[in-house]
Amino acid sequence: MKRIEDIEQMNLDDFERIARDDEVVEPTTLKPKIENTIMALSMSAKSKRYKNKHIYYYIGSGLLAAAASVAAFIIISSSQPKDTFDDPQMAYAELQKTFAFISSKMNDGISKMNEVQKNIELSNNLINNINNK
Amino acid sequence: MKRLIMLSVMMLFAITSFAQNPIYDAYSNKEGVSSVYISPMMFRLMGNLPELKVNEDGIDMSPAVKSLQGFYMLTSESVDVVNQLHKDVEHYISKNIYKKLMEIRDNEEYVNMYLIEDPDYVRSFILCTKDVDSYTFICLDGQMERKVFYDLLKHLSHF
Repeated sequence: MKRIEDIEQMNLDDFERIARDDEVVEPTTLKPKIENTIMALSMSAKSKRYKNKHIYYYIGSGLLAAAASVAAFIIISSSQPKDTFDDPQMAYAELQKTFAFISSKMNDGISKMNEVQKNIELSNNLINNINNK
Repeated sequence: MKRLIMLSVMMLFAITSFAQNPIYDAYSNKEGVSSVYISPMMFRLMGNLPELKVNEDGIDMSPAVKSLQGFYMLTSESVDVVNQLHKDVEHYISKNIYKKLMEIRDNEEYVNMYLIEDPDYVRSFILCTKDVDSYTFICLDGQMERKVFYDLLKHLSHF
């Protein structure tokens, strides 16, 4: 390390000699640092492009979903049959009438089944009586 | 993106077949057919009627009525329609997973009842009656608890 006084005493020839003799030594860690920095910069650029692609994908999906929802709403509302009654009381009365009809048909079926069951029981009793004699 | 488009198309197909009764759609506007449709919205309104909340058995029937999602009824006395309607209903029932609940035959008249149910719920109920010159098709869709469905049948038939 040269002191300021020494430098002040040096002439131009001395300076030229020092410049020729002393090579500037490249620090060993500089090259990897530069490489790492370049790689980091390139990766960040790639990730930015990737992010942009994703944003377009999300916007596209959102638009598609909105269009699908509107189409679904139009299809459902146009294909749904129109209510026969505007008044719930009248709809309820119709439902009661229908349920009474269903119930009467069910009761018909059950009474017919009971008749058959009675006949089967009668036959079984007859067979049992014959067997017991 | 391709997957998304495929999904959207499939959703649209699903929506078009959603909550519709093809028999009702095909016959409700035909000449010689009278039709009744009650929508899920009307069932929800009906569920708020005071007579459903307190009945003679002390049972609140409003949740059961609110669980109904569609009531479709078609009746016809036109011979041509009767035969075609009968064929179409039979085809519709055979194509779906309906189980026969009851069949009654009495001379010229016959009555069939079908159900789609699982251990807990009745999903759909169909009753069709055919005479020489008349046909009635009744379809009730929803997610009704089995017990509630039979209670509803019992309760609503008292009037």
